[in-house]
Amino acid sequence: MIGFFLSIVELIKQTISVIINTTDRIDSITFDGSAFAEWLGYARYAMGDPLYILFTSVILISIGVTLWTYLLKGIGYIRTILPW
Amino acid sequence: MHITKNSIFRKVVILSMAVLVFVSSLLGSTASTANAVGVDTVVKLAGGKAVVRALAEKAGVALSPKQLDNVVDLIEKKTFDGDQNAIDFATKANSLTPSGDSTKSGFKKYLLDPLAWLTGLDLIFLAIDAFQDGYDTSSPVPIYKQCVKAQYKTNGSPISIGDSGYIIYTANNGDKLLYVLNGTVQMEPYLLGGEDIGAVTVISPSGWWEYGANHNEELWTFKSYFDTYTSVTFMPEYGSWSLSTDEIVCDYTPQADDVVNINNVNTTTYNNFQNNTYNTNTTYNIEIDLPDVINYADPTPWNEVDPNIADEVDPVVPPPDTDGDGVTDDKDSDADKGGFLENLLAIVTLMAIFDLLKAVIFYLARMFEFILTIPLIEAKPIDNVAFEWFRTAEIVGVEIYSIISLLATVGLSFAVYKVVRRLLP
Repeated sequence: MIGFFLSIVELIKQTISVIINTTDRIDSITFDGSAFAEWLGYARYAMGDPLYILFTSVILISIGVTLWTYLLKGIGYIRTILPW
Repeated sequence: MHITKNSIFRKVVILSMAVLVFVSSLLGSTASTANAVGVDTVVKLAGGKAVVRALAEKAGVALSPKQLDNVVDLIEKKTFDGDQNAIDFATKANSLTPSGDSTKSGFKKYLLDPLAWLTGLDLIFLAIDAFQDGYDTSSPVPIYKQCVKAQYKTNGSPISIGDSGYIIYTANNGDKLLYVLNGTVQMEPYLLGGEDIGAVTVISPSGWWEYGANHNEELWTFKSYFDTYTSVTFMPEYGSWSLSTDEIVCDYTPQADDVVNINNVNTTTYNNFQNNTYNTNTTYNIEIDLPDVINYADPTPWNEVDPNIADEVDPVVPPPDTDGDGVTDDKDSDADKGGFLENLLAIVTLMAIFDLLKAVIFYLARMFEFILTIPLIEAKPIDNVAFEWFRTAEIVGVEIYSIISLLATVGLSFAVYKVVRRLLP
């Protein structure tokens, strides 16, 4: 019986260490200098500045509109949940 | 959702666009100076803070306890066991210098941990100047001499592909500089100003050798890790180099608490004029003497040396523990209360989960910030002959690339216009 509880405790400790390792790995992720950023540098060189700025601006605005839409939907959903 | 001209959604969309552009311009001004610093294998600094402070004192650099902690932290987090890692570390460490003229040298002083040398390419470089103001453009580039009394044999044969061993440069003034080859000589194509000169690269700890670099054909040029604008070409009239394939024998073994004296700094500047370009090459020679074993003792706490930091605790002197229970006096009152709760498994689990959530949120914030800075990423040239030809090709005096780019811009703009027109009638 005691061994069972000890194994449960050991399992929890291992879970905690995995969570901590995951946290450290997430904290170490950086985007500067990544392969994607490098590829975008190549894309900018290939397309030229005006076309690249236009293309990325359209992408950013689309992302912004999408996020805004989802935010509005989320607010509407929360409104329906709230009693008042 | 039906969208009319006067609907609030339309106004919000337009406002969002303006905000996004404004924010991205703000973030873009800082994105170019951001430095990604990863965490490599963590090792403990051999010799501890005492050695670091001794080295700093010998170099004439005063460090406060906080600066000492920062420097030790830098050393302990930055390790490398290979050449590319060494170059990466030096490149990143070089970026820690204060902003300013990028043509100046990276660091004020270079100090080496003697023990680290024994592990081959595992070197720990100390960037004291990274935490101080100002530059010293006369900073010497250390060329580490492995042993005070080195015994070696030279065969005098020229260096060729596949060789391994030690490069020994003997200057005309009698100075002998020792460089360790990293394995075998490798052939790597080297692009200098778009011209492939097929240089051969040999890796050594404080820099690397390139054969035929800087248009100095059939000559070896030593380039420093720390200063990309400093390179030394060893001209035949100033000295000679030879390759030794025998093991270097040292009759002195560095100890962890040795005190390193940096002396005999010789700066030799010579100029060469080649290919209609005036080049100035500077050679820095430093002999680092490794004396007999000295037990470092620090009788003078930091707060007696610098009255401005009198209230800071000397890191060498441990905080007092009057009752001898293993807990320092300033924490005694909290030790009994917090210890039990902090070690509860449930509390630890909850804290770990909260840390994970916090990490995820910060990750999303970093990702969002990166997305906003995408338009400000600098262009990277494509090293492709066909593409370069395409960029510069002309028809009847008009560049093809410009026409295609203009057409693509107009087309994309029209497509965006049609989409927005459909969404916002």
